[in-house]
Amino acid sequence: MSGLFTPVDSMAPWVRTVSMINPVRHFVTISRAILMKGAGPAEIAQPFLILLGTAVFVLIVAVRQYHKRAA
Amino acid sequence: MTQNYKHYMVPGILVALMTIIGTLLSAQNIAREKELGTLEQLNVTPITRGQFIIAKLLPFWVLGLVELSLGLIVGVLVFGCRCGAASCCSTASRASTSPSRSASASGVSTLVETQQQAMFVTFSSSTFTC
Repeated sequence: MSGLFTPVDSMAPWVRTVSMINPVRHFVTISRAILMKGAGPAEIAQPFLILLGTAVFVLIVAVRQYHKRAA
Repeated sequence: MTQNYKHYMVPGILVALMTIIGTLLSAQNIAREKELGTLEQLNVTPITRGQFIIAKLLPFWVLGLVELSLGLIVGVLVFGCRCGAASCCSTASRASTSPSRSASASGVSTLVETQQQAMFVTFSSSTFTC
C-alpha cells in the first residue's frame, strides 16, 4: 500500500486515494526524493507536513486512550 | 543518469526497516511492562499520561535514528547509493517523522494485554501498510 514494492501510480484510483492516509507512503516518498533525486526541504515539505500531522494526531489519540487506572 | 534498481530499493527498504522495528519494539515495550506488573508501579507515580507515553517513545526514537544511520552507511558502502549533503536533511526529516509510527505503536500497546497480542496487531498492520 505504500509504493515500496509496487508503484502507487500503477494502483487503482480508489486504492491511490486510500493510500494517502498511510503514513508509510509519505515516508517512502520522502526517502526516495532525498536519496535518489537529492531533494531539498522545499520539495519534501508536503509529505513531511502530512507525516507530522499524523504523528501529532496519533500521539494525542494514544495519550487520551491510555488510562492509569485499570478498569 | 542511469536508473539502478538497488538505488531505488535501498531508501524504500530503509523505510520498511525503521517502520517495522520502531513499531514492533515500542508496542512490545508497554505490553511487557503490563505482563511483568511494573506498569502498575509507574501508574502510582505522579506523572501525567502524556509524559508517560512520550517518555516511552523517546528511546525508540533514538534507536530508530541509530538504525537509520547504520542503514545509510550500508547503503553507501555496500550498494553505492549517492548521499552527500542530502543525508543530513534526510536524517533531520526522518528524525521528526518516525514518531508517527512509534506513537501508533504506543496506541496499540495501551489497548492490548500481552506481548503476543501486541506482536500480532503490529505485524498485521505492518504487512498492510508497507
